[in-house]
This record gives sequence, structure tokens and C-alpha cells, in this order.
Amino acid sequence: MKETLKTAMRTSISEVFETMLFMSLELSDDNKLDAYKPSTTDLKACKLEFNGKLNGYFELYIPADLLLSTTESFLGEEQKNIAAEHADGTLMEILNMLGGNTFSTLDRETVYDLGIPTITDAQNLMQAEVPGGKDQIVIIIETIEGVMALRCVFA
Amino acid sequence: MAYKILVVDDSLPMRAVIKKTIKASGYGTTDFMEASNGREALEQMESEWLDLVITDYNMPKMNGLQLIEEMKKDEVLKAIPVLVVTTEGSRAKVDEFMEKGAVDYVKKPFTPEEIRQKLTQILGEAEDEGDVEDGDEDFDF
Repeated sequence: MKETLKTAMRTSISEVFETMLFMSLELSDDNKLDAYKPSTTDLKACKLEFNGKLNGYFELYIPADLLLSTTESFLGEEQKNIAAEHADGTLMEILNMLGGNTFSTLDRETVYDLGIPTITDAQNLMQAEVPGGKDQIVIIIETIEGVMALRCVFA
Repeated sequence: MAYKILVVDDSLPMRAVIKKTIKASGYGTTDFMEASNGREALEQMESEWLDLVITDYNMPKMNGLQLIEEMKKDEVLKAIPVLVVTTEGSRAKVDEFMEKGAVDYVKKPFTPEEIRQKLTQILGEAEDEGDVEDGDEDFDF
């Protein structure tokens, strides 16, 4: 199941970023978030819980400046016109699409209930321990402008 | 012909992207209304006639499916076509959207062409040429 979920996550990442954000990516994966080495501590993070055959949550980490340029790309709007709520909303919507698309790629016959994405303190989230009994997949997403990470914690 | 479309999504950026995609598809004279959940959408519909409702599924307070159910209970609102645009992709959930009365479904992430195709099916051909590649008109947050 872990390999299948990892493949679905990678497919979902490519589809979301290439279809709606027009970004080319290089992906790599790991079993721990330690593999994520952003060049800045000014990170934004978002969390999305899910329930179904698998239960757990996704976390998406992105440098603040990369989020701004990603929001620019998503909205097709210049950065000077982008407010914090647009950037936060874009981060939440990207994670929402990544989560939903992962599960529809993984198994269209199973209904997964997604929660509402929430913006979360990145440093606290990174330091939080993974709950016992849960496994994790970390996908490192490299773009020209910076590096993101998508983590799925599941059981 | 100027259409009036209500875009229902709890994501402000996604509402903006949908509006921009529709304008760029040639429906440039369309009037837009917005709501961030089903309950707000129903309130908006009390005062305005609409040609189309485009709704997300997963929203706080009232989700897209509940919105469709409420609209179908109303003698007037049940005639308004509803297009669901959502990350939800399970076969059972898509079937449920259609059974409850949605006219069609678009899965996020979507291409501008997918939206244009659905609008043509529901509203008819756009009068303007539109240009889904450029989409360079001002943004209306």
C-alpha cells in the first residue's frame, strides 16, 4: 500500500502543479521529513486531515517567497496585488487539490473524507512527533525557485 | 447574452481562478456573484435569478451536496443548473452529485478547456472568442 500511495502522491503533485500552476518539478521521496532541507526558515505550512480506508493527514511545507510566486502563478496576478489571505488561500487550495487528487488516483472506488485545510506554524508542525502506529511518506518537490515538501502521515 | 453565475467555494483564490477562466473562455459579459458556502449561496439566491451555480463540494457550514439538495426542494431554484467543481473524485461521490441533480462535474485540478467545454454544454456557445491562454484581463478579487 505504501508504494501505491507514494505513486499516487507523485502523480497528484505533477498534475496539480503542471495543470493549474504551470510549474515544472523534480520529485524525490523519503521516509522522514529530515530529508527536507529548505534554504530558508521563513516557511509556511498547511495541514489536511483525511478519513477512509486510510486515516491520517497531509502536510505541505513551502518557503514564503515561493508561496508568493506560486500564488502569482495560480491567480495570474502581479505580486503587488496579492494579499496574505490570497497566499494562505492558495496554499490551502493546493493542499486540498493534492489530497483529493491523491485519493482519486489511488482508488476511485473508495470514498475518502477530506477535512478543511488549515494554515499551521511550520516549525511546530515539523517538530511534532508522528503518532505511534502511523507510517509516513515525504515527497520533496524541487522547483527553480525553491523546494517544497508534501508529507502524508497515515495508518 | 450576459449570464449571471454564482461561484460557491470556500477558497477565495479558487473563486477568482474560476471567474477568470470563465471570462477568458469568452463569457466576458458575465455577471458573477460569490459565496463561500452553501448557506451563503442560498441567501444570495433569494434576491437574484441565476443562469448557473458552480459549486465546490467540501465547504464548512453547508457543503455542495447539501446545497443541491436544498435547491431541488425549492420550486424556483430547482430549475437552475448546478455544475460541481471539486477535488472529490470517488466514483460513488460523483454518482451522488449527479443523482442529487447536478448537471455536470469537473474535477480539480482542471484545465481552462474543461471549464469552457462544460459551459458550452450548459449555457451554449460564448459570444466572444475568448482566449483561455492569455486570460489577461484585470483580476477581480
